[in-house]
Amino acid sequence: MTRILSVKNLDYSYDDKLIFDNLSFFIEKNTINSIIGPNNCGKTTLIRILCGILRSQDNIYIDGIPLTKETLREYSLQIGSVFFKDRNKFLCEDVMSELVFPLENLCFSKDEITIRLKEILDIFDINDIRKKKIKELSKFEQVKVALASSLIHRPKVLLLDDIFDEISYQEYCEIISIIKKIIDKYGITVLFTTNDLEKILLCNKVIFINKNKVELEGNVNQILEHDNILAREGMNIPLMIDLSLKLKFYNLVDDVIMDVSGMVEELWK
Amino acid sequence: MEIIFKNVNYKKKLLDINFEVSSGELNAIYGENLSYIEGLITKKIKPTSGEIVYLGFKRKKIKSVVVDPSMVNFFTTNVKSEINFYCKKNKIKDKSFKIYIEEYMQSLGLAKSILNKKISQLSSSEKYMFYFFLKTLFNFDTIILKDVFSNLDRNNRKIIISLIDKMKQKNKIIIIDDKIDILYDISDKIIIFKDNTVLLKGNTKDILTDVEILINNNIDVPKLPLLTYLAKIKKNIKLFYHYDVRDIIKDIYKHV
Repeated sequence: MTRILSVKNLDYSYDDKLIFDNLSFFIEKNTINSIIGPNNCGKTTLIRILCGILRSQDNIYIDGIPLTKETLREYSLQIGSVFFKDRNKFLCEDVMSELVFPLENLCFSKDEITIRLKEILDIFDINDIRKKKIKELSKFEQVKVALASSLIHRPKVLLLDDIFDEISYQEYCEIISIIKKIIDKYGITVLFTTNDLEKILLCNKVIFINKNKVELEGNVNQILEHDNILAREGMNIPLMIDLSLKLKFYNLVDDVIMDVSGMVEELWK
Repeated sequence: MEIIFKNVNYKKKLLDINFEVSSGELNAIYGENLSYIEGLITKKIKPTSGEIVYLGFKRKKIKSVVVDPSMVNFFTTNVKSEINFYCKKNKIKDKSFKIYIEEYMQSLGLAKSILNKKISQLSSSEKYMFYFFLKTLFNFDTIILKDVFSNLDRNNRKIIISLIDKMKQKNKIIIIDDKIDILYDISDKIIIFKDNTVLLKGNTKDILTDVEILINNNIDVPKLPLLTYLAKIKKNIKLFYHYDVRDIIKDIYKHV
């Protein structure tokens, strides 16, 4: 597998407060990855640094392109981003304008805009809401539109902050299924932050940031094996994950089961 | 203190609503058209017919506060000026109030150092806790907490739960509107609204363990009682209704 995003020895402070101390990690191409950590560990700050919004040293690379002042334009064309908690996460009033804006901004031709617009509306199944105003959308619909708008210019890496935290687990599964189709069709790598451990379950890799460093990283099972550390360091363990891990400890189930009915079937099969 | 809804109707959205919420308890509301219930409690809207009675309140003009993480909003650019703005709005001139402000900030896990910061420099959880601080800093009679643990880690959740307990002890009327598992875990009483009226009301543990009624009315069921219920009807396994993961595991272990 090829590495598409690498962060090496990142040091970052602001207002005399150390945020990251020698932070390093990498992400493989065409994978879905998440960053977790207790409140104030710097998840949003990291995404801002990776987007080039906050200045850092020259030790961040996307597809071999370093994040520097000189290469910023070339670097930024490789990424799409959504900061879902920002009040200005949407730039336009209606869905169509929001989707078209990134392409118009990058001077795509009208024909290409039409083709890409149709494609993204179909992929995200949002044709029925394309004429609606953004403020009329449900939270799930807003997530879909935000993602569609950040993916329409086909970036190589998608950086998402807190986008899945206000939708249900079932809605999250639906979004990941869409992202997997996009990975198959165009190739994209996703890195998102979350406070909700339910939303890491479909990730290829999870990075746990704590006390200025990467404290744990690995696949979902490797991370959840350390549920005691996660809980001790302030992570909230959702009920079905907590139940599954405790039952797994007693060899009563083999894996994390999110569905109650599935849990009953597995316990008394 | 109590707020009593007597045969309240609001346009065609609420029909013949009867319930009461009391101080000293965590009252949960769940279901449809909750924004109208909240509007009636905070007196932003008036009932079309029926009566809302306020019993035991010291002042005539009941002060209600709504804490909603989706509405986190600030009027100034830095922390100090935002606090000053709220003090002015609430006509607080007493300089000794400053000590109370610092103590209350500390109880919410907010470092004193944020007083020198711009609001844009706060993390998203700091912004929410600061917003919670501002909303609950001044005296209120009733508080409505919506999605109160949104994006908070374990430590910040403990802080909020501890604060809710203190509010209960101070005889505030607290109403919470949130996910069903959270209401099952922390609320004392629950009122479930469906088809424009009150479907169920009473002690939370009693109401939310009556799984059959919840399922028959398409109401979300909390996961722990649902597991007990499904174990019984699908596998004829008799588990008790539990409120804690560790207790249900001990029970499950006896039956596998």
